[in-house]
Amino acid sequence: MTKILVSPVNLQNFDNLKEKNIDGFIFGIKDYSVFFNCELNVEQIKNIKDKNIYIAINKMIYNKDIDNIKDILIELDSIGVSGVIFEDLSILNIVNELKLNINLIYNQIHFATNYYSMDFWYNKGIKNVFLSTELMLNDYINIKNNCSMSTFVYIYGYIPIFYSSRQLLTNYFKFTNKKKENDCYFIKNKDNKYLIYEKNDETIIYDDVINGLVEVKDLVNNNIDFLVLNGLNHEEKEFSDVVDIYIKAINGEDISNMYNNMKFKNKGFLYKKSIYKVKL
Amino acid sequence: MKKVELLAPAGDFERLRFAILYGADAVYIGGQNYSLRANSTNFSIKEIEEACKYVHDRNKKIYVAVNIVFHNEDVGGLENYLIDLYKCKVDAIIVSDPVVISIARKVIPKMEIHISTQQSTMNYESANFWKNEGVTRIVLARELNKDDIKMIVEKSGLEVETFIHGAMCVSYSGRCVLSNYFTNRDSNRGGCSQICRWNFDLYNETEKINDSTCFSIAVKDLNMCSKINELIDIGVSSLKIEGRMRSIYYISNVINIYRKIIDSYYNNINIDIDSCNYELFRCANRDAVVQYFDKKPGVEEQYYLDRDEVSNKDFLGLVIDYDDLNKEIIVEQRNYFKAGDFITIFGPNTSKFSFKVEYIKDEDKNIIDVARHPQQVVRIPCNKRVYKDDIIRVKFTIDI
Repeated sequence: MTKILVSPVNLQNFDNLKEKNIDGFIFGIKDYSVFFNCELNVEQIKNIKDKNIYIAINKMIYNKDIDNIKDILIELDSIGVSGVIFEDLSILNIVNELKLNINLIYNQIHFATNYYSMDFWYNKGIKNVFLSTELMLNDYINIKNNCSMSTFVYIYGYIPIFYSSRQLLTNYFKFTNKKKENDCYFIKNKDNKYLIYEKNDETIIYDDVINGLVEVKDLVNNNIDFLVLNGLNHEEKEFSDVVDIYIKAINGEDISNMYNNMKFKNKGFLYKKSIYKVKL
Repeated sequence: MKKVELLAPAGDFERLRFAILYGADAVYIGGQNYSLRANSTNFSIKEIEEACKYVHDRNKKIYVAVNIVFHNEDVGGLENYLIDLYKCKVDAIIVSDPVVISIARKVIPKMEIHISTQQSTMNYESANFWKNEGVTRIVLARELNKDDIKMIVEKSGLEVETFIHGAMCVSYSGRCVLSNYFTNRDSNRGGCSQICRWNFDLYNETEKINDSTCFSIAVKDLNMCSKINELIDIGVSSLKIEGRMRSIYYISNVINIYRKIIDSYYNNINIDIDSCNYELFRCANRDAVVQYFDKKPGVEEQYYLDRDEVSNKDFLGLVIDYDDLNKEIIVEQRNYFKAGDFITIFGPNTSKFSFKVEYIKDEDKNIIDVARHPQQVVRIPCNKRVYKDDIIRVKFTIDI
């Protein structure tokens, strides 16, 4: 049965959301996460009771981070979090080296695009995969039907499409001798606006919010294991309302009118095939 | 001490030939499927076979990039392709998606595997993961500094390959799909349309905030010619030049310069790095800097405003023969030059020298004042013997 995982806007939003029929929550961890608004430290994670908690350690990891990452993983193992979502393969190697009993969710962003590779990771002991957002709806279903892993599909939230180690906003404002007022701006291409965000001395660009509400039925019918909603850059109330609608959709209620009234209707690549050879 | 490898890009057989001729120890190429330069000429299996023979006959190595991130529909045919590469006697494959490792282990277990920079291997634990999978070499992420690289070399024991020259991804490699979202071209399957070089308007929540200086994320190219000694000292095994789609002029120049720098290191000879830097700049016409090796790059390592990337006219011609009797060079023209111009010639066995063009003759040995047609064959006088495939270029004002 398909479960719903939610990454809250902040801890207050989490307090409100945990009363709802949500199967689990995703949090970032301080200094080692990207793409998620609400980041906790280990002590805060320890204090969360009664809910399934997934921790994203999905920042790119440098040598200098390794010792801290080991300490964090040991703590998360002892806390017994429901899972660790990881990007950098150091996490996998450390979990294996230290023989930690951590449920890993493979999330090398933009890399989980075929079920053959998922078999490779499954054979390394990873039981879950966060599928790439550049896939079509049929690809999600095809991968689910052909791999042994539990599948996580990013169904609602800003889509990360670029991740750089450079401070691209800071550099620009320095060059133009202007003051950077905050860490969050937008760039525009044709009619689309893309969120550009500087965090921990790195820069991320997001596509507009994907909203796969209408596709929930297909994904549920095809046994996708987890649908993920991300409250990044949302107001609490706005995001809570979205979560309510998704809970209804997962429970099989008619959501067509609700979808029409939603702010975001971006379908990403759900129905669009990307090309890579201009000449055939 | 094993000598460091100079690894050159080759988009087709001609580029490969020049890379080897000008001093590369190894080349990397792409086949017509599965490599990240989907729209360059690339090599058919027959051409790969010929390329392997050409390279091995000269005691050099050849690696084939099989480094796209596969979608389900791309995997068909991969098994046979890998078998073909093995039969061609390719020395290693460069991969980013583990599906290639799985299939290679099954059908060509003896094939060496290099992990592509697309994986963005940033630390020794990740390197050790790949080592445990039987990988022999890691092409490191470009974001690493000297200490990071050194630690990975020491703690993994793997062969480490680093980029030393050419264009940079602005993002962590493999972590950019701007091309997918802006142009519908899949960057991780070879369709990258270089959105990172575009200019944008920048907005806050409500309004456009840039003036005439558009927002840009573009970065300068990489140039590590001043750091080669340090890279060798810390144990890097292979020094890689970016640019499978670059011209033979670019490849010949860049390989020639880095060959000299590397050989100077091993022969304890000082080399004028400023001169190398200038020549490297002239053949790309883009600013190039050290980037991450010493410090995290900042505003100085980025490109703003309109970049000066005018088409380079330095490459005047290619030597196709030398007429010993008349002491004339037979040249295939590549850019306009005329009698009276000062030109420079260099080649694999020709030390750089410059002279004034006293006259130009056409193929029928008639005197002409200008060589103005691309690939026109002309003769110019030169008492010094030169050789086929030597390069003729403009004499730089600061040629040393």
